[in-house]
Amino acid sequence: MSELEEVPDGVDLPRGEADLAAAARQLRAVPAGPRAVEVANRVLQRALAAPRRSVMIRAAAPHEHLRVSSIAVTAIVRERLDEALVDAAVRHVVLDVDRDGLLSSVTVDLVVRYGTVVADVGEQARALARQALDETLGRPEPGGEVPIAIGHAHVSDVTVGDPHLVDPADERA
Amino acid sequence: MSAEKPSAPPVGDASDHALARRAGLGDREAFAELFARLFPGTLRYATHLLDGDARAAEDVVQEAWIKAWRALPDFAGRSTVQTWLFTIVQRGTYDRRRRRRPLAVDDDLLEPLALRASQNRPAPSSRTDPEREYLQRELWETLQLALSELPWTQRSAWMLRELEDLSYAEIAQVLDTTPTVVRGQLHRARRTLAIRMEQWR
Repeated sequence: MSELEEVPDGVDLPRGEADLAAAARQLRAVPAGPRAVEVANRVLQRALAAPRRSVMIRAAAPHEHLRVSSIAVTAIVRERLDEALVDAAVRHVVLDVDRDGLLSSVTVDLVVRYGTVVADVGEQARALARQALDETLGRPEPGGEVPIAIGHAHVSDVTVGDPHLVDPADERA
Repeated sequence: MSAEKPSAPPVGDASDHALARRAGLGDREAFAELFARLFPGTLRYATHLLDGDARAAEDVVQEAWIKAWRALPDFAGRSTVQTWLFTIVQRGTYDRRRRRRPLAVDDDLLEPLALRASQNRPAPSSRTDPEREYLQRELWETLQLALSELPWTQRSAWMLRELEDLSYAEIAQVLDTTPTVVRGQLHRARRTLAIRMEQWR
């Protein structure tokens, strides 16, 4: 099939091409039937139930017996920041967890809109992330054995539009 | 310049990349929106690649979306989200086909294929006249059969271009080849399909 197929005698190629275009239009227009809707619901539920890689993080004293999944911590940090920040959105949350399950640092990677005062957004993000960590893992006592440090919030990329709605990848395209 | 606001904008207004970023960080609502946008295309693609075998296509697509959910935290945005998903589906369907035992092709075996094509065809519209409806059905079934006869990469390239509107570069990413090769595959696919459409009518 590497070479073009010869057009057999008696075959009207332009008519075949017109038929092909008409059939392709039909195929594109087929609406999703009830079965497809049913399948979609099932697939979505199963996908969302699939486990992601995670580590368990030890909560602060006096709740150090409690372990919280890194997935939950990441999701809550993202939610708090994305809901509160204007002209900035979370791109990555990196949690450094040692072998004992202690959270040693958090890095929040932001996408900001072009022209935003980065220092202000960074400080706001740092405070919001701290608050989210305190709520999920408990507030560590000063000098306590579970230090939670915000590594740094840095700006990885910028967007022209609202970074909650677009991504730098959209604007590179 | 930054100030607190009540809540983030609705997911429906977000781009696929922005949704993928949020879903990668655990936002289920963003994932559900991405799913609503892209699931129909992935199911259609898998169904046609697997000769209309709906059950096999559902399995492949389900596995692909599970992989996507797990891999989204590492999605770097180097391709479009749609292209990335079609690549996962493409690999799944390819593996599924490889596991199938080869079958000898004769008229008896083609009969169920034609039957499946007729089961998948669009529902007739009550407003079209019977003759037109018959011609539409005939076109539809002929295309289904002609597609099933195409070599794998030609069929895949044709569907991604004509049904999913991907660019040559995006198709090349899905099929792990070059846009030039895709152009050639599409040219051959269109010619073969047009010939079959004429021969089998």
